[in-house]
Formats: sequence, structure tokens, C-alpha cells
Amino acid sequence: MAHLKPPHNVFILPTPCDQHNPLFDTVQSTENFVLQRTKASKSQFLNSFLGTIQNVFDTKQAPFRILFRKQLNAQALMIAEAETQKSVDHAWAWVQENFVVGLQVLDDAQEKEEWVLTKIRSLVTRADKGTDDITSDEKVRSASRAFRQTFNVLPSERLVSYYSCSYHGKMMNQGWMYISENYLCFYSFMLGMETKIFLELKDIGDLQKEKSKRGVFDDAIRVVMKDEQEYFFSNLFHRDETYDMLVQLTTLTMERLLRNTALEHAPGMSNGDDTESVKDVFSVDVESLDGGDSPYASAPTTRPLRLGLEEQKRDSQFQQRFNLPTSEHLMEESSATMVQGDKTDMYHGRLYLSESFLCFICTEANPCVLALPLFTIRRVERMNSKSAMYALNILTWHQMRIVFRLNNPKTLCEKFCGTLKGNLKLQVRAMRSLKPFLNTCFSEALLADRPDVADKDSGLGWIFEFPGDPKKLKNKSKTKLWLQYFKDNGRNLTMTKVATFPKLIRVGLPNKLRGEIWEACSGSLYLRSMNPGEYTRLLKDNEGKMSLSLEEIEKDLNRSLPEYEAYQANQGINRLRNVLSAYAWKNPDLGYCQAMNIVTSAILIYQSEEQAFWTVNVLCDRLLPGYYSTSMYGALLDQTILEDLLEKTMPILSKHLKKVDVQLSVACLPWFLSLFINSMPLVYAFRVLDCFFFEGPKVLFQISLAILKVNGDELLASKDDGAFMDVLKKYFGTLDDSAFPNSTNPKARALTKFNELMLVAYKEFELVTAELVAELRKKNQLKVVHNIGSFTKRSQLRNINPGKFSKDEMSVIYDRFYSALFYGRSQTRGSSKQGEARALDPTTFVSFLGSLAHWAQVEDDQMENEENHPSVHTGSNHRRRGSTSTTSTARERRRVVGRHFIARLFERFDHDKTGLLSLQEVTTGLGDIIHGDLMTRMQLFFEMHDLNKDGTLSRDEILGMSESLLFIYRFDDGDSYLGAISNFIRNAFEFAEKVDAVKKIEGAVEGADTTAPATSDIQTEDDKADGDKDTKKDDDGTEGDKETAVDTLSTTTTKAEAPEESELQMSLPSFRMVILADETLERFFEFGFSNSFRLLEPLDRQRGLFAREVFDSLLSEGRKLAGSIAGGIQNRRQVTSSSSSSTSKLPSGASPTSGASSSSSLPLGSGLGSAAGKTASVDNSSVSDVAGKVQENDFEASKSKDDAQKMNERNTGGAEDEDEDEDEEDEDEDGEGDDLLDEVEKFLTEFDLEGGGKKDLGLTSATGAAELDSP
Amino acid sequence: MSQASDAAGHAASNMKPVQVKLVLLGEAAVGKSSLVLRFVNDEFQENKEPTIGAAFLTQKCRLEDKVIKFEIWDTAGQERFHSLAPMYYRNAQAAVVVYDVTKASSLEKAKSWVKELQRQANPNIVIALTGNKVDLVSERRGQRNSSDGEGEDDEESDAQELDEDEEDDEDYGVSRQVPTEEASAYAQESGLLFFETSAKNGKGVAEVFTEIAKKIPLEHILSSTRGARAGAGGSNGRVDLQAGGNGQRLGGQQDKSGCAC
Repeated sequence: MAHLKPPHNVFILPTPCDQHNPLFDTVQSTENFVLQRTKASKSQFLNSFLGTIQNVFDTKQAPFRILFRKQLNAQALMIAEAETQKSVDHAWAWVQENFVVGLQVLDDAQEKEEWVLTKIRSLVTRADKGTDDITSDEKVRSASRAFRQTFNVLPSERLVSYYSCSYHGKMMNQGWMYISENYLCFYSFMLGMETKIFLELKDIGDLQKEKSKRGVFDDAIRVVMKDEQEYFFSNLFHRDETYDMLVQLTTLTMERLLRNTALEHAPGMSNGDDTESVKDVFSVDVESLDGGDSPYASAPTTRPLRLGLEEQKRDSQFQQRFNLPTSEHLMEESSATMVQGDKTDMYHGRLYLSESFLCFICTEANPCVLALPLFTIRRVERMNSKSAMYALNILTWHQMRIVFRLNNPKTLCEKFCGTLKGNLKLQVRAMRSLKPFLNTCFSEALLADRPDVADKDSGLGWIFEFPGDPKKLKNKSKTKLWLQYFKDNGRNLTMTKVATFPKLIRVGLPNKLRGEIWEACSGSLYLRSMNPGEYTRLLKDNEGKMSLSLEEIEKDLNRSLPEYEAYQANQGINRLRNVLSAYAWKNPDLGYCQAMNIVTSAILIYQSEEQAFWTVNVLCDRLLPGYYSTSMYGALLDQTILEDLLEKTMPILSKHLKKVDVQLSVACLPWFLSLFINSMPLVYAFRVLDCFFFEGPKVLFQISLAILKVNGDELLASKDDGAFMDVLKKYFGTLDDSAFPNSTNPKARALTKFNELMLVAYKEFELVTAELVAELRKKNQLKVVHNIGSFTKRSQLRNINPGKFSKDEMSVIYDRFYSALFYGRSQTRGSSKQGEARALDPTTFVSFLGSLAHWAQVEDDQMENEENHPSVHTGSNHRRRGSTSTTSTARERRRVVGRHFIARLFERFDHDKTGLLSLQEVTTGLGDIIHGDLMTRMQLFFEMHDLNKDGTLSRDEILGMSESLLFIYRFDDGDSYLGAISNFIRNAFEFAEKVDAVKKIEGAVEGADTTAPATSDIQTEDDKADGDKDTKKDDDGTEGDKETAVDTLSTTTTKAEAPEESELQMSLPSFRMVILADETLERFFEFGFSNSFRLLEPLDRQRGLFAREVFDSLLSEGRKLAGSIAGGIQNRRQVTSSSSSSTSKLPSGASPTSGASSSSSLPLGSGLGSAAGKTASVDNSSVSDVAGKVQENDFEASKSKDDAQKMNERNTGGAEDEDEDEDEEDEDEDGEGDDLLDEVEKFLTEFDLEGGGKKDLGLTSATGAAELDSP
Repeated sequence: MSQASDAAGHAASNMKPVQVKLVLLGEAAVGKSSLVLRFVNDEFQENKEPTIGAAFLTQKCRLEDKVIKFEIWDTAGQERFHSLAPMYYRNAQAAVVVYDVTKASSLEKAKSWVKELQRQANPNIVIALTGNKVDLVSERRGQRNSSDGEGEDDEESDAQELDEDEEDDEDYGVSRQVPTEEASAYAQESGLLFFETSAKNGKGVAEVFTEIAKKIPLEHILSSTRGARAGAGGSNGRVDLQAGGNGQRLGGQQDKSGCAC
């Protein structure tokens, strides 16, 4: 009894459904299971009509499904869904095999149900780990399946959301938009017209919210690709949600893209360090969305990606609003009223709770913001308030009292309090670190009236004086004001920001408090308090290590604020080095960027090393995202935004600059990058920093615009960028001057130009809000990233020797190269080693090649392989062998051949033998193939298959070659190539030089002539046997004949040389001769192979789908043929068994050369032979060339199992490791030839199920396949 | 900046200066900014802050009867600033690509800059390859002599004159990593001007700019309208300005004579 392996991608988590759906017909049913197909799949008319109905009301449905009836006439559960008859049959067979007997034993309906469902669930969760198939939301599950099957994307692709909408092409199509991690797709099926749109998120250049075509509703989105192609979708009921979702996803995609194409890769990573310390930004995000740490076994379902994304968005908004670390997640939320201490002020707003913070923000005019770390709370009491309201009385460690009245139903309040209680408990440990932390806060010293105690761990200003005149800066009175503020509103961690806070900030901070208030404003205070010791640990752990970034830092240490005294001494330099290096170690992807030294050296005047380190963290990660990254996209993005804002606010100046060809960023980029520190006098730059840390990057825009405005007249007079720069430079030098020197009012005279600037910035550019900046960043980011992408592309291509490739061709190679890397990285979801980001490994090479040449598309097989290993417990049979499915053997076979061929190509391309292919290597390699000639290509193939590099092809190597050719030809329509390849084998064997005496060869050839007819006879008999089995199918006669012919040829040649016990050796000249003797093969080497690489005309995705159908048909075709071969083997064995003792020596006693250097194709061949015998699922491509092999192996099998094993061991000696496993597996099977035939028979029966005519449709006619393709 | 514009006032009172846009490129910390500072202000700062984005300076020079106003874009050297460079070198008529003679890798970077300029920039751009920090290498004289046989007589003689200032060198023992011959051979092969300089002691700095000025087709720039600054330098050959004579050379100490600083 054979045991089927469950089919992949068919079973789903049991989902309730309507058994009597009018759109489905029941095809088969048993007591517990029902197999249904859509009515649509039967007739063309119904197909079109019902398809349209389905399309409008629901996402695309698979045409076949299997239901499990919970109890008769009760609810049904869908357990499998399939696109093709074949796979549903497979699934049905599996269900019958595995459940029917078991269900008979069980009596209780409940038990039955549980047993079935558990089994299906375990099957699905094992096979589909980490995919949408195990997501907990059944709607997402089915939509995701439909999506992946319709668009032929990898099973690992996760659907985010799907929306009903219309696409405006030539006409309006109503259908469904699918949004997944990497793609934006649209599918519609209206009255027989199928519309499919498949867009890669990474290629989207712009997203615009629009009104629908008729201009009435705000329900449309325009998608502009980077190649200017536009797509217009309307009738989106949740347009804004869809838009936000797309923006969020494209942002994530952009981040990956930037990393992928960065000119530098992780410059901050230690030079000698190979450990994988860099995490993919995206992967971290997505994995954490899944709630990650619980293994799937205990939590079999994952949450739909969409929920995760929504949560991520909500959390990041929450973090942004309160400047919290990214480790904080929003847990509870309530509307509340806050009363501070004994004051009468009441603030109405919202109260939020995260893991370690209690946050409040006033939603009314009166500003009040508080983010209270839970570990600063001493006591929480529930107050008995008169008005039955729920009130929390909170006492901080310094006895400050805050009361929150929750304005929510009681149950919600109780939930809030419950979570708060739990979170507080978890903070007990953190409370212990509070005291040492407070010692580092100057505010505490001030409040304790020890303001002159200079902590040794404070800013450089304590030692080297602060810039500016403290008297002129009114340092003392400012300090006093702050002291009062602390007393009223709390200090450092517990500080509430009320209305006076911004005022105090804008007049400038007092020197000694400046560092701490920067921390409190930016939120770096929280990071520092929550990660005690991390800074010192980073430095200690990386002591003595070097990296590119460290070298760069070293260059700039002496060049950072050199005019400040501390940086002329070791003390300052060392602090600067420590902070910059620690950050580079923390974020090796960013490392170090010039300008960071300037900003950090400025910060270090007011902050200690550790304070500065965390402030730099907040600066690089949150306040100035992407500014200092290797691509500096953030800085470029903000320059684009500044230009935008200039155009909006000062159109005349903007026009003028365009007219005289001055780029704004020439002047403004340094302002943003170094936060004005090296543009303005230090004292003023610090005033800007005060505002910047409190109000965020919008301040930079406001001040920049104000500078341009104030100098507007002079700028309008400047005619080139030189003059433009001069004006601004001069202006910065006069910030100290009076803005109104001629005014009679002494107060006006006292106003400096800096005061004026700030006034203008806040008054006239009030409209530049944080929200506007965020919105503009979203709007422009795609454009900027694509600009960076095309710049990187240009500069990389400049350094590539293109050979004979044209510019356009190089561009395509570049795109495909990075596309393969892009998706490769998202596939593995892993971290990458240094250098890998810009080179293909063998896996990504496969997908790269697949994107250029159709024959190289083997991803399917590859996937199959990866999914193969979790062996499925089929209830009665746990043996490994039993789980090898019939279909997967054929695929595996093809996969092995294909992958070997591609792997050898990889090796050839890999000039420097690093195991990675650079763009240059790929270009050169492809150039050699495409721009070579007939001769070089033949040589290429010869050398690729001459595995032992002895300059000749052995018999196995010749067979390997023919397998490769079949692999490459496998998608070809028609069958002329089959003949060509069998010709090749025959001629190759005939013309190959024999190792032994030449005389014998002639004899052998003659012998072959005479034996040929004899074997043919035998074959014919075999054929008859096959014919009996295949009587139902009329069309396969030709195929069968052809196959038999090939088989005969091989047999002939085998026979011909068998007596000689010699090995073949074919030299390159003879190989050429053999090739040139055949027109098909000659054409192949002349242009066929090189033309198979499509550089300028893209490979059609539809073709991929079509190919899949062809593939499936080929498979079934192959099964039948294999069946006939197997039958033949059986017969032949009987016939030839008498001579087996002598023949069997052939492989083992082969000439020394072949023995020592046994190729990988030999084990492959033998593997195939046995596999063919066993499971009979080999397609015609693999059968024809190895027929000889099949024979041999059978001889061995019949002789003695031990012998076979020995031989195999010897043969695999030189083969690659991966083949060995396979080989061993096959050894077992070799000896069980008799069992095999049962399976063959089973197969044939199975094939019958499918209906006879189908295979031909797929194999020969495109239209036929297309029909199969449509639902 | 103010000095330059003040000085320009008297030196070129009677004629319109020819504007030449010049860009400095090269690896980080090879001394681009110092080179400009030496040329513009005849100063040297031991610890010059790294350039962020780019700095802009101008300097006027007199060549015979013409006044040339160099508009100098001094760019940031760090690799990640690379993507900003096109913004600065577009429309440039001249480029100084700087490397550090004590750092072999900096020449490689210089070569890639040259390649980029030759492909992306103004097709007639005059490129000068400049090895800076020669003051740091003690064995320079010996190396120099070995390259005597090579072409580029002008520079050779200049260099020998400059050799006399060698005593200023303080840092002995830093070894040269880029031999003069290697760089000059590369320069010749790629059609670049070639110099070795020291921004610290001023050696060879001014001549970089004068040689560039000589090579630029000034008349073409003059004839083209000043507003449209695209495509400087036509194909009408070089304008031969006899300014390169010994007396006219603008050295560190002699700058007053020729250069209007």
C-alpha cells in the first residue's frame, strides 16, 4: 500500500462555510467529506457569468474545494482549496487514504471532528509556518490564498489587506485590490474579461489621493510607478485607510530598498567581525508584529499582518507624541481629567498606559503633557470620589501628587487599573536604579540647593566654561525661573510640560540645566534611565575593535569645534571619540557621518558622555531620521520639503532661484545636517537647539525659511549661487547686531537680529507644523528614494565594465540583480554579513537568472524542497520513504538537474571564488554567454559538464549534459528537441573515443548495429504492455513511441559498449561535431541559448502562469511515460537477467578515470532510475536520457543489494554532498523493485482520474493551457 | 570672503572678471579645504572642521590681461556625501581632484572621481589631479629625482624650485604611499593636469589654480552670456595665455604680485 504525501498549498485551516453554496457543485462525497467544484468551471458561459458575480461579491475563489461535514446536515468546514483538478484530486485521495479508516473506528461525532481538525491543523501549520495560511483570521486566509494563486507569488508572501475597488484602464473594471508585503495587485473578472495588475511596491514612485474620475467622491488613489506608468483606482470605500496602509508599506519597502542599494554597507561593523550583528530593519519589524517569541507549535496561528501593521502605526504615533523609546507599546487608553497636586487647574485630555509609562496629554487649548515613568511612582490609590467617578491618586517619589479622573464606564476603568497594577509590579526592579540615576540630574542638585556641586560626570562646560557671557545670557535669572518650574510641575523624569514650558525654552536655557532639559524634551532621558550601563558596556565590549566608521571618526576628532578649548585637549577629544564610537557600534548600519562630530561635540559641552550618547541616539533615530545614514536620504528628503515650502510661502524668491539656477540645498543642507552649529555663532546655534529638541525638526524648517525671508531682498538681487552664499554667510555674522539700530525705542534697539529671526520663524511660519512636515515627508519620500536609487545605479554602473552590453541592457541587468537581492533578503528575513548586500549568493543567483531566462525559473521547485522536510505523520505510516510523494520526486529530479546546472554556471561566473557574485562578475559571465559565438558556447557547455576537468566528457558527463539540455528545453513548445537530444546521446556515444583499443570500438559499433533491432523488438513488446494500461488515452501514442525510441537508442548504445567494459571519452572537437551534426542543437548553441536571456523584453508574468500549467501537464505526461518505462524495465529485466551478471559489472568496474572522478550526474542518474521504478513519476525529460541507467540499476538490484550499495558508495565519492543523501535514500529503494510496480500501477490509475485529453492541451497548445488557467 | 571681494576691487577695476566655477573633490581628510584656504586666504588651520555638504569660496587671480574669478566649491569628502556631489560639479569648468600622498587608497578614490567627472560632468572640464600633504613625507626629494625623466617639464621645474622650502617639514617618518611617478603617469594617461602640493607650507598650491586658469578656454566663457553658465569651453582650442612665466607664478609668498588677495 503506497502512502501519499499530502499535497502542498491545498489544505487550509478548517474554515466554516456553506456546504450548499449555489455556486458549487458536489463532485464526490463520502460520509464525512465533500469534494466540490464551482459551476463556473464547467461551461464557458456560466464561467463568465458566475465568475462575474463571484468577482463582485467576493475575492477570487478557488474552483475546487473539499469540505468536512461536522455531522450530517450540519455545518461544514472547508479544509482544502485548489486551483486545479489535479491538486484537488491529490488532496481528495490523501483524505480518503488517511481519514476514512480512522473515522470508521471512531464513533463519537465530536471525537471524529476533533481528530480530523487536529490533523488538518497540524498539517497546515507545519507546512505553512510563518505564512498567511495559519493566520487566525479566516477571511485573510482565503483572500491570501486567492491572491497568491492568482498572481503566482511565493507562499511566504503575506497579504496585508484587500479592498473592493475599480481600476480605470481602457474601461472601468470592478474588482479587488490586494495589498501584500511586497505587491499591490488588482484582479477583476467581468463578463469573461480578466484583468490582472501586478505592481511591486518597491517600484512605486508616488501615491496620490484623488477624486474619482467623475470628480464627485473622494474615493480614488492614483499610483505612479517610477517609470511614470500610472494606475487609477477608485470606488475605494476606505480610501484613506487604503492610502495610509500603502504609505506605511511603501515606507517599509523604501527602508529595505535603501539598505539594499546603499553604496556602503554597514560601515560601522567591526572589520574582523563575521558574526551576524546586523538585523534587517524590516524583518525585525515584521517579526515583532507576529508577537514573535512564542513558537508556532504552541500558538498555531499568526495574527493577520494588517492588524500588526495597524498596531505598529498606532504605537509609533504614541511613541512620537510622548518621545518614548520604541520598546513602549500602547496598552490602555482612556479619556481623563488631570489635576496636579493642590492646584486648581484641571486638564481634560487622554490618559495612555504602556509597559513602563503613564502618559497624559491635554486635548484642550491649555497645553499639558506628561509622560510619567512608572518606576517614579511611589503609590497609586483609588480615590473614593463623590461623583461615582473613577479616580487615581498618584504619588511620585518626591511626593508630588497627581490625580487622574477617568471618564469611562466602570468596567473599562477597572481594566485600565488592572493593567496599570500589573505593569507597576514589573517595574519594581527598575525602581532600584532610580536613585543612582537621579544623582546624574542637575535639577536634583539645584533643588537640593547644592548648585555648585559639579558632578564629575557632567558636560565639558563645567570644566572649560560655557560659550557666551553668562551675564549677557541672564543665566542666573533663567535658572531661578526653572527652579520654580521644577517645584511646581516636577523635574526631570516627572516633569509636566505646561503652558510656561515653551516660553522658558524659547528665551534660551540656562547653561547648567541645558543638557538635562534637552534630554527631557527629546526623550533621551527615558532611554538613559531605562538602559543603565549600556553605554559603558558598548564601549567595553568593542574595545580594541576597528571598523571603517572608527577610522572616519578618528580623522574628524581634531576637527570638531576646534575653537572650543576642550577640543584642543585630550579630555574633550576622548569624550567625543567615546560617544561617536559607541553610537557606531550600536548602529553599525549608520556608523558615522560627518556632521555628527560637530553636533556631538556641541552637545558634549552641556551633557555628559552618557547623556550625549543617548541624545545622539534620539537625534539619529527619531528627530533626524535618515539624515546621517549612508544614503543620507533623510537630509535630501528634507531639502526637497524645504524647496516645497519655499515655493508655497515665498513664490517670488522661489521663482528667482529657479531662474538664476541656484539650488537651495547648496546653502541649506549644511544648516540641517549640523543643526546650524557651524553656520551661526555658537551661542545662537544653541538657542536653536533648545527649540529643536523641544519642538522637533519643524523648527529647522521655520528658521531656514525665516533666514531666507529676512534676507529676501538681497537674495533676489543675487544672480548666482556664489552671491547667494555670500549674502547668507554675511547675515550669520551679524546675528548679534541690533535688528533696528535706528529705532528711537531703546527696547527695539536692543533686539538683535537673532531675536528678529526667531520672531519671524515662529510668527510668519507658524503654518509649518510637525504634522505638515510629517505629511510632506510621506509625500516626497518615494521620489527621493528613487532618485537616490538611480544615482546609485548610475555610479555603480560607471564602475562596471559592460563588455558588449548596451547601456539599456546594463540597466536591466542592474535592476534584476538588485531585485533578486531585494526579494532574496526579504525571503530569508535574516541578517546579512558584510558585503553580502551587494552580491548574489547561490540562492539569489537562481532568482536572478530566473528573472532573465525562462528556463531558469526553478523557484517553485526550490520552495517545494524547503517545504518537504517536515515529514508528515500520516497516521499509519511514519517511514520517511512513505512520505516521498509521487509528484515531488519528479520535481525534485528536475530541481536537482536544474540547480546543478545553475550552480555550475554560478561557479563559472564566480571568478574570484568568493562564493558570491558581484555585479561585475554577473555582467562578465552573461556577456561571455550572450556575446560569445557558437564555438564559445559549445565550449562553455562542454566545460561546465566536464566535471573532473580532464578535458573530455565521460559517459556520465554526457548524460549529465543531455539532462541539462532537457532542463533548459523543458518549457519549449513542440517536441523536436526530444529527438535532438536523443540524437545527441546516440551520436555522442558513437563518436566518443573509447579508452581501450580503437579497434574494439569499430567492432562495438557494428555490434551495436546488430543488437539494435533486437532491443527494439523487446521495446515494442514493452510498448504493448504499456499500451494495455493506457488504452483509455489515445493521444499518447506518439509520445510513447518517441519515448520508446529514445529509450531504445540509449539501450542500444549501452549494449554497444557493454561488452567492452570501457569508458567513453569525448573530446571537445568531437563534442562540437556531434552538436553541429544536429540542426536543432546547432541552432540552440548558435542563438537559442543566448536568446533565452531576455534583457530588454521583460519576461511576462502571465507566461509564468502558463508555464505552470504546462509544467503540470508535463508532469502528468511524465508519470505515464515513466509508468511505461517501469513496465518496460520489468519486462526487460526478465529478458536480460541472464546476462545481468556480466553487465552489472559495468558501472562498478568502469575505467579508473570515471571511477575516481565520478560525476554528480551518475548518482543523479541512478537516483532517477530507482525513483522512476519506485514511484514512476518521472517526466519524459528525465526518462529518455537515463534509460540506460535505469537498466543498470535494475541489474544491480536483481543481482545483489550489497553490490549496489558498494557501487553507489564508490560512485558518490566525488559527488557533492547534497546528492549523497538522496543516493542513500535511493539505495534502500533499489532493492525493492517488486514493490515499485504496485506504485506504478497506482499512479496510472491516478492519472486516469484526471481525464485523458488534458495533458496534450498543456504540452502542445497554449490555448489549451490558457483555458485551464482561467477559473 | 570679505578679503577676496575687497581685493578684487582694485585689482580688476578696469575689467570684467572671467568667472570660473571650480570644484574640489577627493576622499575625506586629504586636505581639500586646506588647499582652498591656502589659495584664498593664504592660511593654514591645523584642525579644519570637516566640510558638511560643501563650502563656497571665491578668489580672484590675474593672468596677464585677464582677471579670473574662481568660484570654488569645496565638497565634503566622506563617501556618503557622494550623492550630493553632482549638485556641485554640474556646470563646473574645472575640478581639482585631491588625494593624500601618504594614503594609497585616496588615489583610488581620486581615480573614481576622475572617472565620474569625465562621464557625468561638463565634457570640457579641466581636471587637475593633486597629491596633497607632501610636507609629511621626508623622502620626497629622492622620489622626485627618480621621476625626472618624465614629461611635464613645467611642473617638474616648479617642483624643484619648491623643493627649496623643504626645510619647513616637521613630520618626518610618515612614509609616502603614492609615488609621484605612479600618479603622474596616471594623470598623463587620463589627460589630467598633475601637481603635488602642501597646503600646510603652501608648496605648489597656487600653481594648481594658475595652470588650470591657463588651460581653460577663457574667451569662450567670456563670449558666452554670463547668466547662462552651462557648457563652458567650446571646442575652439585653448586660449594661450602667456601667464605661466616664472615671475607670474602665484606662490605662497609671492601671491601679492599676481593674485589679488
